[in-house]
Amino acid sequence: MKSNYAVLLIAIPLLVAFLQPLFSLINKRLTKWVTFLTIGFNFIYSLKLLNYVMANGAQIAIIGNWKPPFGINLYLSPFSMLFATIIYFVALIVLLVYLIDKPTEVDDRMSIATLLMVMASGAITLTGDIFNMFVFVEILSISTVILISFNNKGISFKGAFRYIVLASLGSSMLLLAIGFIYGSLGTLNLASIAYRFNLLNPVYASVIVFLFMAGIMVEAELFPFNAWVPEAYKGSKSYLNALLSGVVGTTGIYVLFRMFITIFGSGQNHIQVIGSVNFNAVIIVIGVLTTLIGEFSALSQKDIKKILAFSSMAQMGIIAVTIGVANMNSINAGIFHLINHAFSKSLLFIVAFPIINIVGSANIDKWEGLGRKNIFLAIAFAIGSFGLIGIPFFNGFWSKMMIVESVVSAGGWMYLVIGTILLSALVETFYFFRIIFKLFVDKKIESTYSVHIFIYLAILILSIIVIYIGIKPSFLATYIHKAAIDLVDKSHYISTVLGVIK
Amino acid sequence: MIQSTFFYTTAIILFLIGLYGVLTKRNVIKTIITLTIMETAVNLFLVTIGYVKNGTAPIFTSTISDVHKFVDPLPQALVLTSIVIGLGTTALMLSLAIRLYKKYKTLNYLEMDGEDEK
Repeated sequence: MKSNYAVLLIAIPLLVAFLQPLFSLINKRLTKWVTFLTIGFNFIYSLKLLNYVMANGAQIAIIGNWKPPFGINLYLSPFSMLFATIIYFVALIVLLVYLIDKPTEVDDRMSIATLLMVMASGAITLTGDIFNMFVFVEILSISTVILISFNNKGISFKGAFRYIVLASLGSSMLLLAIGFIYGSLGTLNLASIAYRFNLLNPVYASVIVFLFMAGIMVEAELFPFNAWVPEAYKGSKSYLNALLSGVVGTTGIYVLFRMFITIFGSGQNHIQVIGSVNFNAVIIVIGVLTTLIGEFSALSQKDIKKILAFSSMAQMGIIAVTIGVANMNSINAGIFHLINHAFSKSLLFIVAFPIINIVGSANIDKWEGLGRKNIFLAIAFAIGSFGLIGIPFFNGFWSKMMIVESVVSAGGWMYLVIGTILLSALVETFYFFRIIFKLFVDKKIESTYSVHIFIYLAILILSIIVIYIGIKPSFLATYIHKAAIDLVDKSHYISTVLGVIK
Repeated sequence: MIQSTFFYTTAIILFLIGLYGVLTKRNVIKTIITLTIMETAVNLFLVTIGYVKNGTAPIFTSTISDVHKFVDPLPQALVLTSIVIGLGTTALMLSLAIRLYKKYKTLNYLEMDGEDEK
């Protein structure tokens, strides 16, 4: 069966990661290229698989011919392949910048960590086994910690340590949730958990959902498990932040989507109420709090990395709200916004990298006059922030419109939520325009840093995507629509994995 | 014979001790220790799920063929994996603690924050 080869998306990066020490014996720069090519292979192959599942419907890859629910399977559907493709794509663009960054002593080890991190993120989106998911979440958090700490500054170690403490706390809760699930349902296969989940005692079920949510909120940058965000982003290199936001954050939210809507929820109606706990409301409250905290923290910062870090936290909050609002439109909007955020935020982080090098500081007060020195970078920064704020004819506009629209149609106390989203857009507009105005101040900057063609290439690709989605949002519409249908169709998920249930 | 309730209770008490430590301690090493306690609690919890009173290894032999006496091997496999992951995480945390001490000459978060503000 063709879909079984999807295992290569996990196996090849893993194999290459452990061969990296051999490549580094030849040349340390070689490891960077090997990493780039491996992720390139993953991107092309996942794109192929995405088109395959778009045409032929969801597939499963069975490992070792042990049929689910006994063996481990990968689930390839429009939703999971779409996000795997986007994760590999963002990673590939970021690696373009990594390739030409000045060589350091630790390049080989950094290549290994990057490769493992991207592999784990992709694997989390594909896996159909909850314990596999736990293992990949652990690999993701450990390799992220290693990547953050490579910068060799006090704040990097502090950020890395804070992240790993929260991540181990989260993973303990995740494991506890898995223990509860296995103890009560006797299975680790996601499809068979989904099949039996409503048979559970409501008290048990709500404990499991709470623990699972707490476990994955670290990766999804949601309050109150996001204390690591500012220091970790500040401590690592600007283009690696694009990985933290575009890959780790996206993966965290992906898991929330998949688990809450398909596995724990009841398909169309989502999770709603288990026992006496209304989980929709819980997620909405968490999302709203995250958004408000993120936006207002961003407002008071002067450091570009911290501003973008808090802003990505806020966007994750908005997307979490769409999970809680729980209707088909909001899921469409949430998926769309998650994709847009991954592109725009990666663009901003990648643009920030040469700007920091030219200006010599991450403090936005020092950025005055950059537009005169290098108009291209200034315009690219403006494009990225317009996409994020949601200025008409940029990608974020459509997804934010869809989110507001879906929340309006939900009615009731959701009007409070609309207020939050609009307020956050307002605050965002304020702090991004503050930076953009600074960029175009007439002032001379002395700098000898020359921007490499690869950085321009990465910026150009992402800018074109941001503008293209803004002008022609229908380009992604079929993918998003199929992904949303795949997400809510619980019985289809179960029957694809377990076969037809009598 | 010890009941599995005893193990569950112990696991939950250990977990809460760990959680308390993580939330209140301001020292890097103490945080690492409490996290390890939490991991142990979760591992104990997982093993207890597969626990069977007077159980045997799940292998058919000429003398043992009573399926109900078999211990569930799957949680044990999970625990092995989680122990290995826990070891890796602890090693990473300790190495970060060494680096933190070299940079700040202290292992207290609050003093580190003070150092940054200077």
